[in-house]
Amino acid sequence: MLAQEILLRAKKNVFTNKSAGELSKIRGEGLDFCEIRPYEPGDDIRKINFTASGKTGELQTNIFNENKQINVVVCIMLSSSLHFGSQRLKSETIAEVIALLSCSSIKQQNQTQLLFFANDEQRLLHLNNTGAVLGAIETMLSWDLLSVQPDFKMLNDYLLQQQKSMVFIIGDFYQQNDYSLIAHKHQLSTIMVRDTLEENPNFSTELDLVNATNSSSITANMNKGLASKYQKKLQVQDDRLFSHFERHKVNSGKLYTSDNAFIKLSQILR
Amino acid sequence: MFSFEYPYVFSLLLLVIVCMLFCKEKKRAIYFPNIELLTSLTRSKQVLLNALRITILSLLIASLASPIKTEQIILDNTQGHEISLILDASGSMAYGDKFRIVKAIMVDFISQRKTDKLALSVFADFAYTVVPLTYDKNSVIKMLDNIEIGVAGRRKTALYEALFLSSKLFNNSKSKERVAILLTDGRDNTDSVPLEMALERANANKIKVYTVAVGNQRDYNADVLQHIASSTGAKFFSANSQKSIEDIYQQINQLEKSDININKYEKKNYYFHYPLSLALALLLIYFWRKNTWSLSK
Repeated sequence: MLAQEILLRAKKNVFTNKSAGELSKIRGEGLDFCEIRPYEPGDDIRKINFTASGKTGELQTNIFNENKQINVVVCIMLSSSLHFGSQRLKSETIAEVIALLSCSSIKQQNQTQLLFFANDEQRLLHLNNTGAVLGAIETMLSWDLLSVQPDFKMLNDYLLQQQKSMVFIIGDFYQQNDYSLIAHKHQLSTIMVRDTLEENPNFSTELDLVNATNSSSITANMNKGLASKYQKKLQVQDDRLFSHFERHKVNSGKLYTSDNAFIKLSQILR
Repeated sequence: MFSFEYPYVFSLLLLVIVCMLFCKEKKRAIYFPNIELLTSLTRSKQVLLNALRITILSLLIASLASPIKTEQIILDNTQGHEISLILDASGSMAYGDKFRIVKAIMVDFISQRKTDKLALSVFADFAYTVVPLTYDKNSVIKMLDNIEIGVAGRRKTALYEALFLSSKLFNNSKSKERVAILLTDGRDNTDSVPLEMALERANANKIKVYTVAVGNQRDYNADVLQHIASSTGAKFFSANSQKSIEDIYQQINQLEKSDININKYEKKNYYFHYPLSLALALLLIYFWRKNTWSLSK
């Protein structure tokens, strides 16, 4: 029921919104001519523009935009920490993000792949129609997230073998990973899904905090002071990650469980 | 002496350790992401709180065990015995290792007379007082340990002089029970003090003189020793083995038993309030740390 509700909301948002254009800005193998620029090692020799080369006296090559029908790869980094949320779970928000991205991609008739990475498991779903999207949402919502850890090695290995695609990596990004190689190969966007309470955990009481990965627990008096210290330290971690994204031209943004996912995604992926 | 009135209460420490490990306080529990970061922030505080908890419980248990300092107070010295030990240290005592055996038995005897005053005299060519009447048993034992044959000569036996000298120790005595134990293996062969004078002094000071003859019967004068004992209201013993000497001292010990309950009591100083106060102070610190640590930052 929740999966259908998420899909309907996503369809309503995506298919009634006319503002999104269908032009791809990815340079690639399409027929849409973009520009002529000097030849660089590695460029396809079939695209050398001999007329322009003759005029300028050095090799020039034609550059085309990628076909409008592009590959979209949505990667979900599953972890036990996604089993958290004050108003709704982070995993539910991610399900909504899957629905929005998939519907948008289907609308533009793109090839869409959805990948779940968890522990040593990698599950691939091809999203060609809304029925497949509904299945993907249900898979996301029904995944038992306890004891699950993201597998970044598998993510890196998979994406580096794929042809150039528009890649979305979605998760809460508590674990460190180097995204430079992926960003170099693909047009990469990262969406960090968080809850406001986990960033400012002022519960004003003493709690047993359980680690969902290994069931270990600590006791902490989660008051304003500790919450503030935690928030500052987390901010430092996040700033480091976002500067890494910025350095490698990765389109990134933070989406809270309380946010309107469609509006926020539109802002991040504008 | 410092001790605990109820030392078995310390077994509760085991219970504390077991509880710290297995009976954890139940609180509301939630799954929380990125717990590693939070752990790094709370670890030092958690260690401090645990240390405070253990210290407080240990101090409370120590208070419950009731630390005390015990002092023996003797209310009435006149209720105890005053005993003079008179030892023959002449050369003949060396035969058959008699001197060493007798010394060991006397040390044991002294240790058993916990509430009595004791004196030690030795005699051979002459008699002298090694330790006057004292409650300090350790000194008496130490001095007895140091006495060797020959300290008062070797050849003669000034038995009557020793009795006379020892009797004089009781001149200022207030005790009702005055006892002398005279041990010898020979007969008096000096003319320094006549027997009558020694006995007169002993009787004047109301001293019961137990006489103990050791060794060969031909060497000592049993009649004289019997006379000394009977005329002072005591007993004469003779022995020619270690066991029989031990038995004699045991008999004298039984005959001259002190009523300990009347003579002394134990004064106990209680110190439980010190660990208790410290535990309460730490408890305040514990609550302060637990609740307002972060507010002060």
